[in-house]
Amino acid sequence: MSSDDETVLGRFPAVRLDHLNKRYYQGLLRQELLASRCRACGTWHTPLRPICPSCWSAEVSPVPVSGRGTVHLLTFLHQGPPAPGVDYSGGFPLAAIELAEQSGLRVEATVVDCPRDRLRIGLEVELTWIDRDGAPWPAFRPAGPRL
Amino acid sequence: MTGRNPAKDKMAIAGIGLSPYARDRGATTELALVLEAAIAAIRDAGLTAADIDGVVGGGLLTGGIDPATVVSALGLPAVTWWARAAPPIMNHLVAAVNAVWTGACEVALVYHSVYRVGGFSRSANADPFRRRAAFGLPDGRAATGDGHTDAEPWSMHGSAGYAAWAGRYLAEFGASREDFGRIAINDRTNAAANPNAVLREPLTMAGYLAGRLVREPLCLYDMDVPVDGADAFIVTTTERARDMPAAPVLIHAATMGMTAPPQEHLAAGLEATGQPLAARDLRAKSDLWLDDIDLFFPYDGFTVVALRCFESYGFCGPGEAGAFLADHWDAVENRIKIKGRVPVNTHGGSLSEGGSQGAGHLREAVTQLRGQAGARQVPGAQVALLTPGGFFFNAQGLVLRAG
Repeated sequence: MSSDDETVLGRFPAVRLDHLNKRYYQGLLRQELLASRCRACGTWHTPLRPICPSCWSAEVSPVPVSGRGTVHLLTFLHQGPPAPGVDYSGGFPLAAIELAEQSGLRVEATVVDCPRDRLRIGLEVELTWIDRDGAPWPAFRPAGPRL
Repeated sequence: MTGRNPAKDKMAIAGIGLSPYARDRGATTELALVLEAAIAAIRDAGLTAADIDGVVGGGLLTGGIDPATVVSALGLPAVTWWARAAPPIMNHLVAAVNAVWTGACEVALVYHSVYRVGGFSRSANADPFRRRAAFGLPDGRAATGDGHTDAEPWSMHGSAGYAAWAGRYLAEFGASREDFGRIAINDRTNAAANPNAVLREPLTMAGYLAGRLVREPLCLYDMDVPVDGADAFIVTTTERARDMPAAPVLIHAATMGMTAPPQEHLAAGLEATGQPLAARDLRAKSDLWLDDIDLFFPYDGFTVVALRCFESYGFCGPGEAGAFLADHWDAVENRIKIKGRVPVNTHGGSLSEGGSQGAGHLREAVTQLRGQAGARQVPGAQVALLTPGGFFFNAQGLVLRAG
């Protein structure tokens, strides 16, 4: 077992890691949000799959995404399992973020640094990082101006 | 999607059995619930253990009871087909229909159970045996390990996904929470006449709107109520069922629908989920459709699922279900009556009878089509349309007719 494998197994003890999804979690440790891209047809997909769901090519590999996106789905959780850093009292936001790379390419994440009255479907957001159980975890915040 | 339906009306439900629903059945086991329902169904069909040669079942929270355990506990002497099925109930029913149709068995016992385990509700958590019943159950995060791996509050897998799509439905169509509320109120009104329903006090719109938000925009009244209980059904050929004591209910058409990507957060849109696929295939398979039905059972594990059923099955167009319900609302009876005639979820549905992944809807439809629904009987009911399951991994459709 490589030291990279030992590291990811140690940092995500509650995740059923396997020989494919470990690469996604290794990305998180580098603060890189990865999605899978097919070199044959150029299509992105999440979560990581061993083949491209569009063309069935095995020429797929995890690539960092830009982190730009929009809020596509949004709910506020007023109760749920206790989790460090999660406050349900005002409604904990959980969103599906549609990433800029491709229509329908989405990740689930909370939204931070955003007043409740600004947070709605269609909001442009950008990637940021929070701590979850001692490891980096992706979150999104309202997008700043493009440089 | 084939539209082929060679088993149309050739398979029947010849027996039903219930282990009554309750918020808390107390110091009992899931197996006891399953066996109570199974024995009731076998006796209802006028059969004995020796007649049962097919067994299929499963439940939601624990995965349910394995067929081998049921065969053992009931002492079934000769079983030639069995399968374990994940809810909703059409997974069980379609498997049984196919098994009887192909000759894998002649008489199938179908069972479904719900048993609240530790971690699921406060009262269940207070029972050390129910806490232990949850041993070994993976959380959502560990269940699949494929990236669709997480649970609340980090993932939309399950309930949060329905809440999120309910929010998008409101935003996309300019719908209101009152539209969801009509589903909940209708269920509660109907539940008053169902002794098996666990929530039977009337619900007003003001009461609905004041309901505690749980997964916004969904409140307490938008989500099915957890219960302990079980249902069982006997499936055999219509020919054989006609020789049995209970009036047979014929399985006219049955479908299941799933589309890629099925994950809640990845689904392309409500118009692209398994629900409209199950509807289209059912339309292609069924000789009976919306004008022919006497009973409608849209699945209501979440109000938004039932609301959208009115659109997916063609009662109205996309985004029009709220207006449709308002137009077809019987103010005197305080419930939906489609065209003043067809009631909806006559037993109170998942929201008021209890959440049982469509098993309760199926039992009620059979009871009504037999003319045995007592105070809530729809006079002369001949045809029922059911849509068990949600949008994503588990959409299903069923047309039943009195035999």
